[in-house]
Amino acid sequence: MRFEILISAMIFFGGTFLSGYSVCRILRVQNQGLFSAIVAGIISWWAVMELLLVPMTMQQAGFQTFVRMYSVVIICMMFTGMCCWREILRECRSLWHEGRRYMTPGHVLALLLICYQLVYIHHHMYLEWDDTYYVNLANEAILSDKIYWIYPETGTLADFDKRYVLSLWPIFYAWLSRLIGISPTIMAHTIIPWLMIPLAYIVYHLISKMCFPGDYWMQGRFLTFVVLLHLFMSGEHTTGITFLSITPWVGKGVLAAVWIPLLFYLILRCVDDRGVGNWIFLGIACTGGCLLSSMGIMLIPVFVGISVLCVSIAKRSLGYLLYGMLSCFPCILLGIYYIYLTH
Amino acid sequence: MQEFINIAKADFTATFAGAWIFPVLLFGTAWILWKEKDPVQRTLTGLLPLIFLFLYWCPLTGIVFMKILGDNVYWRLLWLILLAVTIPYAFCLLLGKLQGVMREGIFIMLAAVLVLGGRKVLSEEWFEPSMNAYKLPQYVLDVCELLPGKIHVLASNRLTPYMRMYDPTITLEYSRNALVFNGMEEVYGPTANLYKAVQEAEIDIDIVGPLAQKQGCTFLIFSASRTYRGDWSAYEYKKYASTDEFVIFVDENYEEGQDTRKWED
Repeated sequence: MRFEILISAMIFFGGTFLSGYSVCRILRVQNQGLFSAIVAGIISWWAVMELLLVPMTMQQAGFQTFVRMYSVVIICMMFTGMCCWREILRECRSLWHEGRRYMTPGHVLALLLICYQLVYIHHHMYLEWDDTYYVNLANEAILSDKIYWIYPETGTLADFDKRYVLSLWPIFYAWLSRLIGISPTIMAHTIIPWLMIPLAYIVYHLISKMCFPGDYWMQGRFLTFVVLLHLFMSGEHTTGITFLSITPWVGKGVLAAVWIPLLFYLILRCVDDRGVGNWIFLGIACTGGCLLSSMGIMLIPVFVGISVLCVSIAKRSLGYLLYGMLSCFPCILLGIYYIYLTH
Repeated sequence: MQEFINIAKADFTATFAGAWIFPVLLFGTAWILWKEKDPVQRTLTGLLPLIFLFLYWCPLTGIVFMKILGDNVYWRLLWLILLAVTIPYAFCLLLGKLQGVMREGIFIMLAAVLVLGGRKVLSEEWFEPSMNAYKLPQYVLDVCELLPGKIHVLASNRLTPYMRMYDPTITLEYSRNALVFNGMEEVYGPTANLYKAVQEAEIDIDIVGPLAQKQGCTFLIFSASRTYRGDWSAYEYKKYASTDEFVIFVDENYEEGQDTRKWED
């Protein structure tokens, strides 16, 4: 299993890293290092997936067709990213020098705690009842070559449940399991935690860089507090941060534990640099968030809308509100479609 | 209105119960609003959580959100409060005011607040050791490994949520969705009748047998502790195999390799 985890992590983080560079180049957004590129890549991967998957599901396209189309798009993005090899090399060199600055006690402690979390989760299981729906959705896609037209809990043909048709996140790990050649159940339960948990902390690391620019000591302490909160400060399983440990493979969990903090990071970036590219990035992230859960279609505009409203008031500039609302446009569009489908 | 308050209160306590998250969050927001000088940082890290709390509790906005999200998942609105940003940020602001040993001492104290003030997530309360790469209960794998693929199965409630995650070629007569029939006095339709019949303490084969046959269930799987009234062979079922926890019956007419999956609900 270690081999499969390693390959999946290489595809996921390596692929998103290269794709991130290409997207940053296209949007003329200043890349803020290796982790920032990974996050940019993931945002674009999931947004592209949402844009491909919704029409393909509605048109009853086969899963295999989706795998081919999506893979081609991802490979193109990665190749475009490779064209930025000079920038990547420069970035790697600076990371080599800058990396030592991150060896603060806070960063080391956080890293140790993250390793403990990953190893514990790898050797334990949390039984989630909803998996019978979501994980089987991925299983059925591979088995029957149908996206969402089979009721995943029993395996019978069914008219799709319109509540989830716009947010088919399990198809992402079905795609990944098809590439690796393992069962989606193993991908979800055993491999995805190795991808989502580091991703969540990458996002928090980027937030710490925005909040305490240049203060590495404080960034490390911030990260330590973040990890401790995730590991010890849980209420019930309904607390957003708890999802990162218990169900990092469930779309709702990824939305609560990774995506909403990621939107916060992007808002910080928009405040820091008002370039249009950052706002487009936010819009792409809003689209990608819709893939995770139908709840995202509703919660993302609320979060982004209220955040940019607050920034607008604090900065006394209507521009933030206007751009922020435009960023939410994909969610609003999907929200209208959702209402149309369910009524 | 009263219903809204009841739901909001229940969801809020259920989300924050068992930890000091909420008091720590309030301390964090208060500290940020007091000490943070940058207006944008103060707004995004300190004020924003309070705005979301207000939206959650205010009946005017709350009722609208409850309608949009659904009253059974209203608690998801609380996800918008970024606990893991506000609390660490407030703690770091506090550390920023200090120097030397004092700073390290307060850091350890604040870390201790987080460690001791909540419930440990990675504990046996929620997790159990995993026995396989699928991270499914071992008894599910034990049963599934005895079964051939591409069959239609009626399975025990303990198995239905997990069986198809191991072998998706199996179709199930009912899954966890059938639990809805538990509270009903009367149910209609063969699947519902079958489900109710197999929930009885002692399974009446004269009821279950013909219904299972009619529904095309090739394999029937029950807990080993179940008792039966009647004779399975009268309905052309025989014992197929067993594990420590389950007994498997098969339709006598089933031929090895036969595809008996049921596609239509």
